[in-house]
Order: sequence, then structure tokens, then C-alpha cells
Amino acid sequence: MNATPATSLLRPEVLASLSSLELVARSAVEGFFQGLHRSPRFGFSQEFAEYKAYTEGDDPRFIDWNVFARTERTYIKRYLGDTNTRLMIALDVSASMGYGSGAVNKLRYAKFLAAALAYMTLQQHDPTGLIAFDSKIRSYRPPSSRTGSLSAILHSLDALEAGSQTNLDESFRQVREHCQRRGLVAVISDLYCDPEALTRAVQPLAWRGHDIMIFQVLDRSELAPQWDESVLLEDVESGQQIEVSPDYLRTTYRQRFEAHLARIREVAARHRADHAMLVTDEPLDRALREYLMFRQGAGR
Amino acid sequence: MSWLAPWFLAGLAGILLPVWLHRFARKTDQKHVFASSMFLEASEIRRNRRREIRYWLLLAARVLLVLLLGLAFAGPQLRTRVLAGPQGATLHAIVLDTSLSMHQDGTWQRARDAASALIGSLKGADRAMLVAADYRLRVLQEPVFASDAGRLRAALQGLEPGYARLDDGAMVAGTAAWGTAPGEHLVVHFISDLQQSASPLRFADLAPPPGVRFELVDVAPASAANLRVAGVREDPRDPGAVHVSIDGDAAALAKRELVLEVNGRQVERRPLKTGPLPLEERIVLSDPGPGEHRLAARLEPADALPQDDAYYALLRHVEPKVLVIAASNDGDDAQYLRAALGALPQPHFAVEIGQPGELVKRQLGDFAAVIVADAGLLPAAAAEALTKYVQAGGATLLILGERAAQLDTIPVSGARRARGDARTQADAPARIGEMEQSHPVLREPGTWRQVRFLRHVATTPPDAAHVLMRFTNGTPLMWEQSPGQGRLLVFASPLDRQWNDLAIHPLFVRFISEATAWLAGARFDAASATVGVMLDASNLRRGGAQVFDPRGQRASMLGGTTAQELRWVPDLPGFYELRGGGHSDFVAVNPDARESRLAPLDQAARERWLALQPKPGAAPATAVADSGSERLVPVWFWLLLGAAALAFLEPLVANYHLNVRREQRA
Repeated sequence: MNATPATSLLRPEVLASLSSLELVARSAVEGFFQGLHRSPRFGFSQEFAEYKAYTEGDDPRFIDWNVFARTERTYIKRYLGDTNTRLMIALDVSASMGYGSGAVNKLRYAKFLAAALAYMTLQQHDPTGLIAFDSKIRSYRPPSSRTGSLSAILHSLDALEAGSQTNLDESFRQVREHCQRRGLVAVISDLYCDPEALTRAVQPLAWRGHDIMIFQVLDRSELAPQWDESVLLEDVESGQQIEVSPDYLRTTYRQRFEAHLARIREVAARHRADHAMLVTDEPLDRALREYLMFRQGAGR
Repeated sequence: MSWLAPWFLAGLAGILLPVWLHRFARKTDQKHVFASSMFLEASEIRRNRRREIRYWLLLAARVLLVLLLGLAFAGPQLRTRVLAGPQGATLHAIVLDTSLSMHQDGTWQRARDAASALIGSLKGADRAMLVAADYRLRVLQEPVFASDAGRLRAALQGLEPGYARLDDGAMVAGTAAWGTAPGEHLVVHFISDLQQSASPLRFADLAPPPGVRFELVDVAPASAANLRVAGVREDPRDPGAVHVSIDGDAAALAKRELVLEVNGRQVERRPLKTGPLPLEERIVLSDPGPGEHRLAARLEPADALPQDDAYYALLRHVEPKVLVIAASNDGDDAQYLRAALGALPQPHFAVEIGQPGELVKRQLGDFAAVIVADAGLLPAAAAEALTKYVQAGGATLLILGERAAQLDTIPVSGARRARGDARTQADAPARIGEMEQSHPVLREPGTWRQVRFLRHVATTPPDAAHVLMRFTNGTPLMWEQSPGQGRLLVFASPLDRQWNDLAIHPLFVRFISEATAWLAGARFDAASATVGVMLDASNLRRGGAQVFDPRGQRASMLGGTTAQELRWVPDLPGFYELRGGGHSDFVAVNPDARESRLAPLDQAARERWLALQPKPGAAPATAVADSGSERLVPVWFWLLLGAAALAFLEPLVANYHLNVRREQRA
């Protein structure tokens, strides 16, 4: 199958034209898998791993009734892909995420990403939850793989709007309260924060055994501002107005931004977290690929 | 408006430069939201609203700066008539004669009425000024428009005639200094009694300056008979008698009496006899005693001009003593000096001749002056005594003769004898080369240059000396010194006919008398003066003095010793008193006799006077031309001044913006 039309389906502007977030998620994920040419390397799901004695709290749908018929014991059939795939999507909905210079702003792109991740993981019956935060928790959906979870998550995503300033310390303190069980935490944010604050946010999660994946969503104009004249920029979060020259944006700003990214990567690496920088004018396939690669690595 | 260099106006295109520069500033006003200011330069933060205002100020300053520079270099000239009144406007100079003769019955009132009428007739854009004229021109009110006529009336209200004389020629010449606005004519309304005696010596001096038109306003009474005391003098042959001269109109003689006062006390009153004028009355005084006496001769009752009915004079029954120091009483020099001093009618000196030793024995303070025939005669004690006398205020004429030629330093003076032969060859006598002609002692330079000096004592006067005469070779002949409070004249050649022929010149007597009188401060004419005529008191006294007028009020303060500092102009008749240095000197001041002659200019003279000025028809032609001319006033300087001010302000405004940024960055 030709990858070009599939990739085109993942282009943000195309996804943005879709009215339903579920359709966006499906289009993105299916388009992504069409482009993968189905390689065993990326196999993910139905491979049997072991039987596990049923314990209270396990989903009774996974009880192997055949085994029960033979042994009168309840076992749960566990697959390889189910290992450590409890996904909690931590989505930054701060005001800065509402910024965008193109057809899709960062928050919308993040929503696409979160929806695609939720779609993909719930297809594998992985419990998937959602936490939206800015200075505090704005929305919370506990991880669940039940039917309707996707709709609930997508509904929550749909309702999210860009909020106020980011406060990673406070938000992740609450995130940690909701992520008691070990799993995978996907942080989707533009990470306009002090890298040390990010450290303070993810370090406790990492210490608890969570696998952390950081999707840093950025707009193209943040990476390379394109203004030929002095421009008065207003911080969408603080309201500060700053007049900057093109020279400054071309030189010092980029240097500072690169340094910031480097520190973010350093923090991520320090906590064995995966860091993926996503630009809102890029298709979603790279994000999904990163996710699958990371999941594969984390599963081993 | 016109331009000297209009092509510089192209420089106004430079206005586009600041506008173009500020275009960016305006674009920055377009606000863009941005995700985060984390990586932006925080120093650029400021409030948009304030920045807009200040940027506009800066832009305005810069645009104006370029504009002013461009305009200034283009050389703009304003075509203005600002200073010019409407066409045909007139500056009326109301000149009031305030001389003594204006005191005549009713004359001054008529003059004021005439002036008031002129002020009241001011109209439109005409202006008027008020001037008082006697021995000087006093502008009492600068030119004002009719709307300010009240100021003219106020100035007129307090004006009274004085006692000085008015010279019409001087008045006419003075009008040339009054500036008029372009297009404005100057018309002088001369309100006067138009005395014939006020005319200048040269009738042509009455010709008005160009552009000035005269109108004569005659306020003289129809007829007036005036009598005045023309003079009081002591009879030279009878020191106890004075002669009082009376002159004027015979019609005023009837029923008049002559009153003589001595030191404020009436000593004589007698009716005047009718007869031809001038009339002279001889009054014998009953021994007024030695000293200086103030005589006042009055005519009573008052006539048409009472202000000239009195005459003031000083009667001096003082014979200043002069001590002549000579080698012997019979020597030529002693005899010449005695003869010269004795020949003077006024002042009369009492001459004593003595030998140098007398200087120690005698009380030198009793002598008005000491004349030393040869400074070389003085022994040390005598020289010391003479020096003390001079320093205490005494006066000495020191003559350098053969004995002085043997000295290195001249006593009393301190002058050093110059090296070389003091003799001058007989076949080549020295002549006077330079002389200070303004000095009271030296009046006849031509005659002095005829005197032949066969010998003289070549000396170098002290630095403080004022050399009055030099030979043609530059050697000083006579100089003046002021040791202490006294006076010292040094004459570097003897008076005995062996070294020069001065003694045989008529000049000799005058020189000796003038020098002695000056040294003694006893010039007779210094004690009398005329109202309105500058009085030089340097001949009367040395050092400063307070001057009190006849009313007892201090009129002036004479300071210093230079001639300029010892001059003042008396403006009242009577006795002025000069107080200072522990004694008083009186000066008798009388009105100018010409003011007493009340006869007015005849009609023919007036017509000739008015004929000296341009015809009335000719003036408007000039005036129209003047008023029609517009003045081009260059304004580039003011534009450059404004540009300089803006150039100074522009960085201040710009720096203010930068400071705000720095503060916010901090």
C-alpha cells in the first residue's frame, strides 16, 4: 500500500477538517497502520503470554472459561501486549497550548494525539485514562478499558479549552494521586516550564515505576519565529507584552529555545522517559510511531 | 515671505526619514500573542499606551527639527510692516521749552495748554512723545499711541520750567536722535516763547535734520518788560565798594528798588533811577571784614520774569599769601616772580620773599603756595619742611635752576636727574614739543613754542607725575605731581633769563599767575558759574566734596580727583556749597543773561527758520515712499535657534524612553 495517501490522512489540517474527534482518532490510527506495512516488529496485541489466577478487581471478561470448565478454577488469560499498558494521558491545557500560528493550534493537535493514543490503546483493551491540567486538574477520566471509555475520553477531550498558566508541581501532585498503579504516563505539553519543575513533576512517577513518555507539542513559529520587523509579543498566559527585534528572534531566542529543549531532553533521559517533540504542522504518524516504539521498549 | 536659497527647501524631504524610522515603531504597536515570553528579552517590556505617546513626541521633535533646518537653510525672509504705522502715520514730538524765560507771566500755562491740545488731537495710528528742552533734551515720555495719551498728560502734569538757557540750535540738532518707525513722519511741535536770544550763533543750525518737520507754537506774552541784575563786582580801586549792573527794558525800571544782601543780611536798599540802560549802581560796603562774602543783589518788586531779578556773587577779601624762596631778595628770579604776582588784579596775592631757611622758621600752612626759585637751594631741613607742607595739602611751584642741576635727586619731587649734559647749545635752543593744552596753567600753546630754552635740567620725573610740557627731544620741562593731598608743579628751567627767555615774553606773567592761582586753588572765575553750564570744580578744590544746592539739598557728590569726577551742572541760581576736606567752598550760580532778553523772534526770522525745512508738500512724498517699503526680516536665525533647541531636546526625549526601559528591565 502506498504510504502517501495514508500519511496525508494523518496531516493535521486534514484531521482538523473532520468533525468528530473519534473519526479523527480512527483516521489517524488506521492511516498510521496502513502506512506501517504490518511488520512483526510492531506486533502489539493478541500474543498470549500467561495465565493468571483471577483476583478481585480483574475484568471477568478475560476469564478463560475453557480453563474453568476443565479445572474449575478461574484464570485470566493474559496477553503479552497487556503487560504495563495502563495508559494515563496527561494533557496540558494551559493557555500556552492554545497558541497556534497555523491551521491547528497546539491544544487541538494535542487533542488529536491524545485521541489517537486512546483509540489505539483501547483497541488493545488497554486501560486508558485522561488527566487534563493547567495550574490544577481540569478534567479526569480514570483508566478504563471498558466499552465506552473511548467515547468518554473523546468527549472529555472535546470539551477541553485552553485554560490558565501551567503549574506542573501542583498538577502532577494531583496526577500522582490518580496514578497509584504502575503504568504508562503520556505527558502531552508544550513544556513552557522550568526543567527543574518538570523534574519535580515526573521524578516521583518514575520512582513509582511508571513509564513516562513526554510529547512536547510546539508550533512552528515557536521554533523559528518568522517576523521581519520588530514585533510586540504578548504572552498568552501572563499577558506580558514584549517588543522584540527580528535579530533577537533569529539568534538569541533560538539559542535559548534550543538550550531549553536540551535541558528537557536531559531531564527526560535522566528519568528514562521518552521525549518526542512534535510540531503542529507535522503528521501524527511520528508521534504514534514513537509511542509504539516506546511501548515496545517499555514492555520488554 | 521670500527665500534666499529656495532650493534648500528640497531638504524638507528629509522629514520622510524620521517618519520612515517611526514606521517600524508603529508596526510594533501591532500586538501578536505568543505562547510564552520565557525566551524573550524581558528588557523590552513596557506598556503600549505610554510608548505610543512618547513615540509621537519623539517623532514630532524629529520632524520639526528637520523642518526647521530645511527652512533655516532656505533663508526665509518675512515681509513685514510690523514696525511701520499705517501710511502717513506721524510721530508728534511735543517739545516744551523749559528754559528760564518760560517763567514769564502765564507763559508756562499757555505752553501746557498747547501741549494738552496737541495730545488731545492725536488720532489714529499717530504717536506722540513729550520732551523738555533747556540746556539738555529730556524725553519725559517715550512715543505712545493716542490710546496712551494719559501717560503723556501725566508726564506733562509734573513738568515745570527750570532756570537754564535753551539754545534752539542745540535743540534742533538733538531731534536727529529720535528714531521713527518706517513710514512714520516726525513732526516736532516746539512750544516756546521763541526768544531771539535762544537762536544759535549760526542761523543755519536751525535747519531741521532730514525727515523732521518743525511746527512752532508761540506761547510768548504779547509784550513783557524785564529788568535784571547783570552783575556784581568789586571795585578794583576801592575794595570796600561793589558795582551792581542792571540791564533790561527801561520800561521795567519804574518803581523798582535795588536790594543788596551780604551773607544773607540786607545792607542796602535803594530805588532805581530812571535812565539809560545798562545802569550801574555803586554801593559802598561798611567793611565786610576779611574772608569770603556772599553777595546777592535783588530787584524789587518782581517784574515779568522774577527769576532773573537776583544776582549772586562772591566777594573775597582774602589775599592769599605766596612765599617765594630765592637765593636772595634782589635776584632776578625773585624780582620777576614778585612783579608777575603783583600784576594780577584778581586774585591778588600777598607775596613774601625769603631764603630757604624761612621754610623751617615760618608756618607754611599760612601760605596758599610756595614758589622755590631753585630747588637746589633747599637744605635738607627745608626740603623736609616743604615736603610735609605739600603732603598736608600745600601747593608748591618748584623751579629747577643751576643749583638743582648739581643734584641727583630733586627734593620734594623725587625726580632723578638724567645722565648727560643738561646744557643745550646756545645756537640750537630747545623748543617746546608737546604740551597738555587742557591744563589750566597752559593756555597759549603757540606762545609757549616761541620761548627759547638755552639750558634746562634734564630729569626723569617720578612715575606718578603727569608731564605737562616736553621739549622736542622728549625731555620733560614741566610736570605735575600730587604728593599727599597737595599740588606740586616742577619747572625744569630757571626764570632768570640766563637759561631761557621766558621772562621777556608776555606769557610769563600769565603763566606765573595761572600757575600760582591753580596751585592755590584760588581761580576767581571758578567761584562763579551759570545755570546749565558744566562747572569744573577741579580748579576750586582738590579731592571729593558734597555739593549742596541753594536750597540746602545735596545736589551731587564729587568723588576722586580727576577732572571728570569734579564736574557737575548746577541747575538753580544761588550759592552752591561744596563741603569736604574740613572746609566749604561756595560757588555763585546765576542764570544765563541771554534768558533775560525776552524779545521774541520776529516773524521774518520764524519764516526763515521754517523755510530751512522741506516744503510741506514734499514730506508726504518721502513718507509715502517710506511707508510703502516693506522690510524683509530674515528669520533664519530664529529657525536655527529653534532647531538647536530641538536638537537638544530630541536626545533627552529619546533617552527618557531608554531610561524607562532600563528601569523596567531592572
